[in-house]
Amino acid sequence: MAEFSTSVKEVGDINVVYLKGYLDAHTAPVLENTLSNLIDYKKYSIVVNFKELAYISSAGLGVFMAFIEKIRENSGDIKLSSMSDKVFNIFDLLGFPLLYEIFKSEEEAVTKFSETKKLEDR
Amino acid sequence: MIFNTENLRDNIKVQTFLGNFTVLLIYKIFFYSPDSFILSILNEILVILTVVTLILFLSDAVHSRRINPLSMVMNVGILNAVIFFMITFSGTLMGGFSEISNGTSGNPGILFSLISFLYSFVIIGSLAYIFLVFKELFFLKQKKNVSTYFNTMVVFFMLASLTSVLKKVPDLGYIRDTFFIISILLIVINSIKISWIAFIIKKEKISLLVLSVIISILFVVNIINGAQSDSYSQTMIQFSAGLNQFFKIMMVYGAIYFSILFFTTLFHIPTAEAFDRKAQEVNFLQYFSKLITESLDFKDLAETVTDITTKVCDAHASWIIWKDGDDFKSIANKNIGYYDSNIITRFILQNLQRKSGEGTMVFNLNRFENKSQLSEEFFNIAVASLKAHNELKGFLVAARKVNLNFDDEDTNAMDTFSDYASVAIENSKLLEESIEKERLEKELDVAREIQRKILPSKNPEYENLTISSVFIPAFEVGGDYYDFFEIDDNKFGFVIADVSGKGISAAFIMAEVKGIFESLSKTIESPKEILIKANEILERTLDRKNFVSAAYGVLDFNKEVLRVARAGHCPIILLRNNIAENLRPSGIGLGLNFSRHFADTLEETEIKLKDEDTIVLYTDGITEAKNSALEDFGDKYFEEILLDNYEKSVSEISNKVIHAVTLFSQNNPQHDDITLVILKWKQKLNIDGEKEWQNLAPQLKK
Amino acid sequence: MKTDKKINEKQLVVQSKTNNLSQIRDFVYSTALEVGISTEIIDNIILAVDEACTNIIKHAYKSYPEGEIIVKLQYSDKKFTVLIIDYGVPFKPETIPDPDLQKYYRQHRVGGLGMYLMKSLMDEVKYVSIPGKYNQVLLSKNIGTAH
Repeated sequence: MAEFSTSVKEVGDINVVYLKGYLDAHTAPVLENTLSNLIDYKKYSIVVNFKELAYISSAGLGVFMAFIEKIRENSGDIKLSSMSDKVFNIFDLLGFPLLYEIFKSEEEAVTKFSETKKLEDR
Repeated sequence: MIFNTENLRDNIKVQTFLGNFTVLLIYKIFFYSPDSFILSILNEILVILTVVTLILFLSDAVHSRRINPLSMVMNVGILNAVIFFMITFSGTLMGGFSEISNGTSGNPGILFSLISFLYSFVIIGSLAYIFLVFKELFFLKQKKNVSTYFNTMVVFFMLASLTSVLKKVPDLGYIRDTFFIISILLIVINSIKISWIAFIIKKEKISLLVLSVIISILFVVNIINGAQSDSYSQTMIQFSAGLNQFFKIMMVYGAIYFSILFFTTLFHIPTAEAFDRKAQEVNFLQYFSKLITESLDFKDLAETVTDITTKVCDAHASWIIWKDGDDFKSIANKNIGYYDSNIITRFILQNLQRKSGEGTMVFNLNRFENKSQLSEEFFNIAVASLKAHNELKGFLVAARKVNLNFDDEDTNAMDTFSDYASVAIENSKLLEESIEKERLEKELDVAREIQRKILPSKNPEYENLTISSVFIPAFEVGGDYYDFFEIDDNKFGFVIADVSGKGISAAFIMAEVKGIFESLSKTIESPKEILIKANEILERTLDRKNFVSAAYGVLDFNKEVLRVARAGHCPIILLRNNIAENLRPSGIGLGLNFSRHFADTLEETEIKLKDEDTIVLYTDGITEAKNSALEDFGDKYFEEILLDNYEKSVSEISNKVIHAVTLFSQNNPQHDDITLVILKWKQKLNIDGEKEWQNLAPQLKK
Repeated sequence: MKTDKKINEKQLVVQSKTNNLSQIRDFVYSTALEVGISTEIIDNIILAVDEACTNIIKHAYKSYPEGEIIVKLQYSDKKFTVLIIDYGVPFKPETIPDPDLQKYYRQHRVGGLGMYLMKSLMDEVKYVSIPGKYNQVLLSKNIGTAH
């Protein structure tokens, strides 16, 4: 039985969501839950770390579509990071790079958030 | 208010009928007495006028609706049933009323007359409608003009009805009887040829068969019933003897017409299916040829073909076995799963050789050993080949779930249809291909245009450097790029590059590469640094599949040195003293590696220029040009030609090379762009004609 | 005409629940591995199968958990075919357009990506519905060498 789990780490204002295992139509609600919890707590700056994600189907991709607008309306963002080539290819095939910023590493994604913050503060 | 003539005519008809109706009603209630002969005659005339006006009024309604014969027959049946009940319960109805009116009212006549008038009028209405239906059916699908026959008959109907008033004169009864018999004879004659039956479908024929039996029996029953029921015949005769006679005539007409209809239909049943099939086939072919012009999508068309096939040859399922290279696959499945269609397809392909004949082949699956694997049971299949220009494209298959062989009619239908389908499918394929071709050509036009605009339109001219450049594009844009940069008065930069891939995507990358080198050449002097920076910039934009090979060089007129660096490109050839030297500073192609490794492995070579030094830049389009034996033009041959001609001018050298390449590959199409750039360094001469060894700034001729 | 190709077959029957998706993927994965297909292509195939089964569970069976999904694998040395059979409500795959992500973004839409993925990842995607009986999705991938 393929498993999927998420864990969340706070880095300042930014929340990093770690995905682990297989994300499909069955496990997508777990991610939905995690993201909607963050939104409930008004955490709108989210980095998703895909490093340990072995598999993703369109049901999993759909979760990001479901929340992104709400998050951006609240001047937040979901930034994606650390994807394996296999997972990236799926995102790429569907044109996600046009809608989401995808970074090689979690650090780059977090840094991008703080840079944007600084720009806004100025 | 504006009346059009149609409306006006309708209005007049309604008004005439209503006028007649009112007059008849008033007359019946207040004046009529059956005992007076004169009044009887007047009564008959009024009744006939009412019936005639009613028929005229109704005739438009019946005629204009264009209802199908079956529903008209159905209506006749219903009205007949109404008449049947009217007659059967006439005793209860009329008797009851007459008793009530007799018992309770002081004036029994008026109420009773009113009731019997209404009663009779329902009969009149029914008869009028039945008459009109007979008329419609009589003229339906008649090819010749037969109205005379019908009109004659109607005249005799009227005569027979009118003369029935003479019943009180016993001696003249024979006149009425004669007209009556003539009428019946005319009815028989006019009913014999019923032509419209041939034009209805089998299902309708079967319902018609049943209906005509019931209706003709109903007519007979009504005749007998009408004659036996005292209360009915009394009411009718009292109302109008003519009407009673007309009723009889209509009932006889009905009994005769529907009996004949029954037998005619019966005789048509065996051929009904053939008619149905032909009609359907024609319909489908018409629909199909319309579709061919409307829908050109291969998939849609294939699905329509299988859909129609199931209908044309009465099959449960259909699919197309489409030839795909060496393989066959089933497409456009209709009512059959892929699993089943694949199993049967294999069976067909295995057994095809055994049945070599023209036209549709028929197989029985009873002896098919893998039949048990099918998820649904199929018994019989018919297979027609789809051919275009005598080339087999695939097969059209029809399958039946019942153990009923495909007969000649089925296979004939399938022959016709598969011919149609072959042409249509071929057309749609060709169109699809030509659209694709056109799209590619458009795309290539754009790519060529981009390339043309990117490459330098003319070579820069210097006093001590001659430059020639030749670029021959391949049909599909190959992604070659070269450029010259007049950096400042003392420096001249050049680049040659080859983008992986072809066509529009290569052209876009070329455009990007041009931008990168153009801007970098202004700010960075070192060829090595330029290539490192270019690699960094390309990391952001180049996708993982593409890379660019490039060589970049800078020529310093003052120092008389050439510095070059190379990123995975063909070597740069230096011709000096009749020797060809390949300059191969190491370096990997741009876009292949984005780590430090790229910079670490990239070298830069510096050469002190001597008089008559000739620098040759090229892309692999030259060395990999192929002859008909698919042999490469090759480095060796290339160098030979260069050395043979190296003392000539740059344009002469390049002409010789291109000439040789063209000759070599004349029987093989050019598959990649060819680029050849040749630079020749000429030491400036001093006044004495000797070579000047000092570092003099070159003069730009501009 | 090549008709006597050796074709192997395997079959898995599961109930229409999303927690069976992983079982379906494992089944396809292990079989494809035996056949000797590269893992990169297998990843594409199992994603396409996952998408097809997810569609069946959500749309054909409308999340009713006791429907039957039959996954049949047929493979030769040239072609790997996955045939997925269900007994649910038919749907019209042609009516689903390729997704426009920008539009989805505005409309909060999530579905429709699966069909596009199937078409992109496989060489052949076909659908047939036999009204009142069953529906079949056929996904196939050419696995032979280029020659």
